[in-house]
Amino acid sequence: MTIVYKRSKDLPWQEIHNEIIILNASEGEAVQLNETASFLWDCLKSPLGIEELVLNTCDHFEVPPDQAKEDINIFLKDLQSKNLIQAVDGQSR
Amino acid sequence: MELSLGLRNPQLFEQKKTLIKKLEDIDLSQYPIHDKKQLSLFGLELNLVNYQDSDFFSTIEKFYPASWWGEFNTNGTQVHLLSCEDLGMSSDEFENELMPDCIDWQDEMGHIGIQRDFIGLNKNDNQIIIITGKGAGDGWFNFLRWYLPRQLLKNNQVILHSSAVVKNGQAYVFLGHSGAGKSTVTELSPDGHVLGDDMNFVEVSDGQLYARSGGIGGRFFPHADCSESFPVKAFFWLNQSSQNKIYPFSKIEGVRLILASMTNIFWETLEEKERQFAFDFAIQMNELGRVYKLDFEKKPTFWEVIDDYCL
Repeated sequence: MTIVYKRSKDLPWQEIHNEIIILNASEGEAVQLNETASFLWDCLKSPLGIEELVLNTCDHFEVPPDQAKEDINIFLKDLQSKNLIQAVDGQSR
Repeated sequence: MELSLGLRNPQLFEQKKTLIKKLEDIDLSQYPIHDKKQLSLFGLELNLVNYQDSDFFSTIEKFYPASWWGEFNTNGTQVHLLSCEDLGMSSDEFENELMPDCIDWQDEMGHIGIQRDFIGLNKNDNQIIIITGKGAGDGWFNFLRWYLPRQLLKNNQVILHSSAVVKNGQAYVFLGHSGAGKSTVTELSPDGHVLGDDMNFVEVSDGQLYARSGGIGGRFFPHADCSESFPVKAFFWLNQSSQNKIYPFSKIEGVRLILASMTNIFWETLEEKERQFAFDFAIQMNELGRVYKLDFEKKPTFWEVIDDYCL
């Protein structure tokens, strides 16, 4: 099974000066993303696997894949724990 | 869904849920009506039917301008005010809960709120039943804090957990967590007049932000007229400190703090469309009124840094 990540449904969000703010309704709080996390959020407008996210990030920020992967894993874990994104089977994307 | 989290008296919560069930097909004609009045609250016409004792209206009258009270209208939104004693529960028993938060959910009966001193059922925006302890105490204000925010949102108004002081015709709105100093700054404002020290209304009208007194709890300021609104100078997020200092938050941080200050929106049970609207409204508020961080020491001198910075 290939895991891909996608944004959870019905989350109001907005980009303000290149940063994203998302309303996490289940927690009743707004989550603010930094520049890198905002870029990743933008990438997830359609479901992507971690390797695709790493490629995009390396391209955009000119960082080595290992460092990008580490940052992306933190981002994915954080947003998953807040139910802002979901991991799904890539076959169903 | 776990609704009773944090309750000190879950058994009472279950009893209150049973009372809610009774409201579904309650025959209100079995209770004698003491009086009926219309209260036009921030433009929302509430037709109040008082089944409680005759002191209920006289207790809450002083909080609202005389012009907001009028003739009962059978066609508008009806709010039925019952006492827990009418339903066989003493006031002491009804309020025997220490947790202060409101628990809110939506089911087939309608929108429901339960707090230590009130139960509210909004059947369809035209029929609302509330049960409080006997008399118009905090239960009435907590009902309003539960009911009003969502209704007012439809009229471009929000209730902000805030204190507000008017100086030179403009409202300075202070935000912050409980204990941050919202009430304290009102006591340190000899040159201004206080709109409220806990909850204030903020609205957008003709592209301008206005604030006014909430009249829904906190300390009562007799001179604060709920019908009078003032242009908002700015928002200040409070932080008690050993020195006075002020600096602007980024736009995105400003939105986050305004969202955090919007009272009793109950995001989780809000419909998607309304949720988006509330979110967009916070962004609009932040465009129209800057949010500053205010480090302040407990002296009126903090006004000097505000005046220096904002003038």
